[in-house]
Amino acid sequence: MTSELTQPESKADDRVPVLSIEDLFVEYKVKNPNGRGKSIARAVDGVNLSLYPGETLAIVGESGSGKTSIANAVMRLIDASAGRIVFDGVDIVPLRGKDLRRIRPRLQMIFQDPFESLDPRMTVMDTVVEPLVINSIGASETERRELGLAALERAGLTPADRIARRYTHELSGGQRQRVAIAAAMILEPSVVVADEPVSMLDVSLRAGILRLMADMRDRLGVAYLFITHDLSLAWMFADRIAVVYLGRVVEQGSPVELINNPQHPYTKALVSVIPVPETAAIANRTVLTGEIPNPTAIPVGCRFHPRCPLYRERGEPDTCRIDDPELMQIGVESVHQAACHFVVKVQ
Amino acid sequence: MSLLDVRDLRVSYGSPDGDVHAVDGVSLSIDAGEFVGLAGESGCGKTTMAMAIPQLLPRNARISSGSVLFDGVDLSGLDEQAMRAYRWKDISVVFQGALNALNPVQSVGSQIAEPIRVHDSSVSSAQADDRMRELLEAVGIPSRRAHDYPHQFSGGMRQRVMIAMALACRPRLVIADEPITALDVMTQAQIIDLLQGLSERYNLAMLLISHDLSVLAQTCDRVAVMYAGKMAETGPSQDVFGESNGQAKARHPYTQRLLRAYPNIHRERVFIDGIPGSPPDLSRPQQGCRFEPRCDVAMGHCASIEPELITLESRHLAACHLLENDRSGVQS
Amino acid sequence: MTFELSANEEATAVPASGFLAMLRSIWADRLGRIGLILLLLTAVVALLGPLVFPFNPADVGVDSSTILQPPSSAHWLGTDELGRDVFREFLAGARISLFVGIMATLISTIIGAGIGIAAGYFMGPLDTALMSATDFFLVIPALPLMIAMGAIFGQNLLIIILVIGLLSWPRTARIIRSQTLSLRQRQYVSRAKSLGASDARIIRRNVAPHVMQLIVANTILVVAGCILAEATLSFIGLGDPDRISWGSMLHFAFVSGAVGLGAWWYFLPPGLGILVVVLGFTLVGHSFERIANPRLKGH
Repeated sequence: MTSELTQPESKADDRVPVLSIEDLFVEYKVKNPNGRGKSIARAVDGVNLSLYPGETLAIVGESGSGKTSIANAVMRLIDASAGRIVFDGVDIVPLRGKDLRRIRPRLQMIFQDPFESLDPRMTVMDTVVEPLVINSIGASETERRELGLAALERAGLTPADRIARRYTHELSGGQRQRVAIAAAMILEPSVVVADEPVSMLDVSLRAGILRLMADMRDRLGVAYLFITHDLSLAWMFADRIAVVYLGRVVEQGSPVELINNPQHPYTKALVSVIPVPETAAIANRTVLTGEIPNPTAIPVGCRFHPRCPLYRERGEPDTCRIDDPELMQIGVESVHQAACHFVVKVQ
Repeated sequence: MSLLDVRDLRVSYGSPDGDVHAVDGVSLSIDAGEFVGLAGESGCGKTTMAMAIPQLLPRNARISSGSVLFDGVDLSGLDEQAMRAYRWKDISVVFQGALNALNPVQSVGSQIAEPIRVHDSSVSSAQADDRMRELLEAVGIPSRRAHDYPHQFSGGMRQRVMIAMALACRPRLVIADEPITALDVMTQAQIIDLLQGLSERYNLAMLLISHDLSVLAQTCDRVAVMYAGKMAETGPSQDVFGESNGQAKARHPYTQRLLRAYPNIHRERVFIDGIPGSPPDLSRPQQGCRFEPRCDVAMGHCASIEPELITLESRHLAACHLLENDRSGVQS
Repeated sequence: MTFELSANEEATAVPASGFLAMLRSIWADRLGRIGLILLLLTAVVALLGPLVFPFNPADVGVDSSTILQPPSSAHWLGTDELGRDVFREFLAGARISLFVGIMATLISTIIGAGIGIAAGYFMGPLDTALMSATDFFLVIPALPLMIAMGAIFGQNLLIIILVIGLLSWPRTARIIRSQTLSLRQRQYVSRAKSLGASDARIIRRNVAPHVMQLIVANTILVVAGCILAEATLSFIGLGDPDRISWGSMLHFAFVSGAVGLGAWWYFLPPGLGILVVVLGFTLVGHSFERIANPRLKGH
């Protein structure tokens, strides 16, 4: 069964987001390298994102961009320092204990490392029905077993009963990821956070896993928060992309818009360095110098200006060093926004 | 004569479940100053192949047949003592995962200078120091950081240190095993540019191993694609990658399908294709073409007769029965 | 889409089916085999010995000619300073030595593992508090404690077991805590949390099974230590005066002057006995560690 690539909504939404990240801040205390005292690392420095039912929003960034912290904050694996994460109408940031566990079935996660995210001592069946057991779903063990087998089959793991008896450490990486997906979907969540779900798999296996995720999307109406460093993968799979740099969203829009008409200099650079199996493409790359600064020392003004080619081209304008640009709408398509002082704004 | 000429190499690992034939009859040649990419997915044998060249295989691995000719000398026949003369001076290695390969309690400067002095006792420490600083600058690290320790550098910088170390004794061939895999996309681009620049500047031959075909396409003069211990396709990058008349230039069904697994932003936005199934178990004897179980254009005899490498154009070869009629008269 | 199930991954070591498989692996290991043989010997001696050759402490010699006699057909290991049969004494002593060692280990492991897992899993203030308690017990000197306890409660087996147990759990606690700390960072623990699992469940299902190997390995080695501790305490006279253990045999051998007289049949057997038992447990413990953690094997 092939799944169609979805087309994004191009108008401003009257839809209600199933997940709304509002002014999210995540801070860590880190020891200083010189050994004296601690500094505050602002991994997420004011992020606003909306995820609509059934849609896939990709969060693209490099390491240090904060994308993983956003995912962990949404999943409440870490605490947000400030801001709201509204899921199904409820701010989940202050939730603890039983209240938090009550929303878990509807908010699931797929992890990056298929070798680490499954307990090697558990059988496949145990792993798949674990969410049911934890949340006391299913009237009997038999019923849970049936649900488990069905989930394995939907995930392409057949013969399901034979595979169910194996220990997870006996499966290959691709198979394990399928088990992880089956376990995540068995509770029929409304939002699934997928943290680099295919980056540790062989390239030839990725399509299979992504197709499975797309099938689940079609079948269950799941909305994905798709975390990845691979912009071309996000372009192919997502309905909308948000590019993050040093804890902020610097640009967001539809995949086609972002790739063909990137507005933020960082996005432009990222797009230009995407390796394609095309030998001629290497000429027009913008390879940025240096590396992402430490989140304990976020540059003042526009956080990208020290590495920004546009900043240099324009003779190092003061505004980039002083004012922190906001996300502004670009063009007619309301979903395309960028945070740069020099984007052409919509009147 | 090629600088490196690997001929019909076979490497196997001993394991409690039987011998695993990780490399099963692979040939590869690299000329001086040439930038060659070795591609393949996990288990294809590319790392084994690469590590067999400087004889850095684990203890349970052995070269069962074939030769590794470097400047005409068969390295596979040399003992450890003789091999040491080649390592680092003629052939050096940039390993994956710089953090694990660097000594955490030694400054990077001294780690780079060390091989200089070990391999040439006539070099004074002042001379080694100068050369070390030269190398740091060549890889884009300010030489004032020579006294810093590995943990004070970011991942990308540490990889640059590894590259500087590999260049310490002016080798003629550098083998880089997945040098950019764990790095950010921007840093990857920087390191790739660096490697290319160094290859040109010092006329280094480079063997770049990566599972990422698209990176190899952009940087390598020639590429070799391995599958299940065998060579599937090899040729100049411009003959293996890209399209002509809307058709992929790659000739082997595996290469073709593998290329379709990468999203290509310069083409139509379609869902990527994968390859169903998984690579064969190399501890069991293989019959016929190894890719046949997963191949959608396999013919009757593909399962029983192993295809040989067929010369298609100059230096472009592929091992597939379907290409038998495309055999060119050109000697490779 | 059917999948060919691939050969076993080279993932974390998981014993295929517990106890028997592990025994077989230890038997296959050369040093482990020696250890198992030594322990088997000890078990036979300790369990069957006293049944076949019971020891009666009241069975003293009739006159002075029977004391500290060398081995003969009547007394295979000679007699002690009261004219009693050393061989039978030796067998009885085995039981007590092992009993004390094992009981003390049980206390030590239960407390140590419990505290270690709690501290490692919950971290924060609980961890700090528990580790302070651990440090406290770590620095208590054994002998003064023993003497003090003996003076207050009298010298008996229970006191010895308690003291040895209480003084050896800190080491276990630290080791288990270390392992737990690293285990809780594993991605499958995060995943279990994200599924809504409670801490109790996570500890029970995702943490404890993985620490279990370490606990078992550690326990085996702790037994050796406890047996040695008992022997030491008894040797210096802090043991239970009413019970014969190998340590107390050594004690009486010393104070009765047997050593000076060269009555090797009195002090050599218990000494060798302690050596054999401790060696046995140590070899098996290290073998277990090596098998359970293949990375220690080296190439």
